[in-house]
Amino acid sequence: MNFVTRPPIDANGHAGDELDETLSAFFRSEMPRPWPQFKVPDDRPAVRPAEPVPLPSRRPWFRSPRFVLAASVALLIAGYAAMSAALTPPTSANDPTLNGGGASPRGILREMHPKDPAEDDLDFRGWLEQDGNKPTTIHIEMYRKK
Amino acid sequence: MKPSPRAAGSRHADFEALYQRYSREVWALAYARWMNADTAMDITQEAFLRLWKQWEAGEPITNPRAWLLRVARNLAEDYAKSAFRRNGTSPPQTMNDVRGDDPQPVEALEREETFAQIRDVLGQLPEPDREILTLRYALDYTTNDIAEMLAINATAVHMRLSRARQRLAERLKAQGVGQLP
Repeated sequence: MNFVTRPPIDANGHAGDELDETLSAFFRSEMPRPWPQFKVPDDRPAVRPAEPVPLPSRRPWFRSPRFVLAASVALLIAGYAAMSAALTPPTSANDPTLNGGGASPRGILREMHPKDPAEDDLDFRGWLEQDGNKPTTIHIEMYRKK
Repeated sequence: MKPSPRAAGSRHADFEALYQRYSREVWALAYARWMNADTAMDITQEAFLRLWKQWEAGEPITNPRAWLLRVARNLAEDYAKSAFRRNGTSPPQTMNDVRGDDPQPVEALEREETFAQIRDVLGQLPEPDREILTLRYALDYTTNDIAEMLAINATAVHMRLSRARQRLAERLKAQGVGQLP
């Protein structure tokens, strides 16, 4: 079949020769089949998924960071209170830690007389001494009981 | 004012009808530009998507067909620019000639061979020739159909179609495609 020879084409542009059939077959093979549908975009506004609810912690309550923080603060306050109480100078005249009954500039802290049951013939006493803004001095005296 | 669900459904149906009516024309123009069926379909889908957005925005379009064809041509040119940016001066590679490993009948192989040669020759023709040939043979449009679509008179269509067909036949012969399977 000679493609160069122009076949007669009618007013509608149709011709029935081999080239036309081949071209029709070619172009139809190029067209997608089945013809894809057009997917209309969804009209609904995008809904953001709800944020997942955080699962409750499985740690014991006393291991909660908040509890630890609160406990730390409480211990700090208690320690401060204890230290303040220990550093408060005694006001009683019968306080044996005062020398000569006279007023002493030194602030004597709490005396401690712990007793060791294992050593009944020993006794000791300890106290804290603070002179103004100087560092606190710890005094411990040990003596045999008479 | 938000459209009622019934109005939205009607709009969808209208748009679907528009798509069924003009999508192949848009595809044909894009295919004539790039000689690639997948690229042409991408351009077609994008053109209709833009039309849909225009509808959603409430912007009236008096002639959707002309609007779609104009947008498709612009999109095809935009695709050309981006392809040049990616590939330089070489055209994008197509997969049309890839064959599978399964044995095919001889007639099918010869047919594919002929189609590959036709595709190659069509790529050498000017775009207006490809356009009119695609409309004629892919969509089976008459001369009047093509004239209406391209906004030219039927005589001009007839002349352009004859010349395009002649050029195609000469080049096919030059490549030795004289016998059809």
